[in-house]
Amino acid sequence: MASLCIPELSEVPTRITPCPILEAILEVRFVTSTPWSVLPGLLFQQIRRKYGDPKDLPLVSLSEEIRRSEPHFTYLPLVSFEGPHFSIRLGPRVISLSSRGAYPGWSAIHAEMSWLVERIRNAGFFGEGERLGMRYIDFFEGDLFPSLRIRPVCADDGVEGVEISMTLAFEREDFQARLILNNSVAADIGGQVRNGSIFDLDLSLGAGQFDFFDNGLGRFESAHRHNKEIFFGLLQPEFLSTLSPEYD
Amino acid sequence: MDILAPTAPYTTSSHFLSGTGDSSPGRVRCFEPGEAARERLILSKLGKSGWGRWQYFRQCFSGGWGERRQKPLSPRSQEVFFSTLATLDIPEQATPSLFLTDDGHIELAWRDADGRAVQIEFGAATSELYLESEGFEATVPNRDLPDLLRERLPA
Repeated sequence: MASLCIPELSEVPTRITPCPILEAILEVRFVTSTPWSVLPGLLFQQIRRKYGDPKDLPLVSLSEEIRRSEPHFTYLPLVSFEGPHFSIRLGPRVISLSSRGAYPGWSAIHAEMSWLVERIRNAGFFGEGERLGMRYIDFFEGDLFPSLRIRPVCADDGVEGVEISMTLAFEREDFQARLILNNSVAADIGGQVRNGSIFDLDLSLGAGQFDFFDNGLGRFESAHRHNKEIFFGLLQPEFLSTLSPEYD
Repeated sequence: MDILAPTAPYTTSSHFLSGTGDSSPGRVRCFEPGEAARERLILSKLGKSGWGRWQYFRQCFSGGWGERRQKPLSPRSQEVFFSTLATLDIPEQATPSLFLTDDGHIELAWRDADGRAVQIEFGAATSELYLESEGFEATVPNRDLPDLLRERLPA
């Protein structure tokens, strides 16, 4: 897979207003010999001080045989633990931490993930890491494509005024990046449905590129840096200037 | 919303269940973004049968399995398997087979021109090579596997 030539900014903003981040998710996929039936209990013992009882997600109602036979279900979580600012979701091969409500900022997410890594270690079910991923979903009202430095072209002319959904997969140093751009989505924001565009960026590492308990947090840090560089690098400078960028 | 890099199979019209909407798994597979290179590699080197075996192992042997609770398929074993496969020259007449060991390792095996077994077991940290024709068996750290294969299995 090739890399994508993304313009480098001399300085990357630390904040823009309004904050477009709908959701931030840090996820690790793993294998384990521990049966699924006891995983939620093992994790809950470790996180009960901050998170509520496990709540079943819809997929849990399907039989294990059906879940295992359908590849799309392999990495889906089956239960969630809700805390005041974050959700932890757990499945037979995945655990994720995601922000709830307003984006709390990278420092808060990193601190929570740092705490969670130790809880996962103590729970003792984590066998071997398979994939480490970070996904940020940003929402903008209206059509985002004219504000991007990447856009579809038809017969040498830019495509405008049509519904566009595109996915790009590319390399970014050690990471695999998957960027989804869509200008025709509806998002639930603060209880209100709004139409607009998403900038959905997922960065991941394969099994040989991380050791969850050894360097997982550092790898998430790197993913976050790449995420910002890609996101801001692909915004048109004129558009970025309308978002009141703040720099350290 | 918490699924990272979801897969979405593309389906042909003969498999549509209701108009152009929902569809059942079809004959055309759209690889997970970023996975296309690996899927192409195993298809080209091991054919549909090898590709199918790998899909089966990764899908159905991810947790403890078997009567003795054998180990799940090791993600690192897969990584070494794929990096090795990219450089491996398997004779055209050979019919390579894939196995999953009790330790959760992928094992690739075929028979050489004289019908003797060639086996490579890809572990998380070390890998094993067995050549029946030479009575040779060795276990090496994964970083040394490419050199060993170059030496023992020249193109």
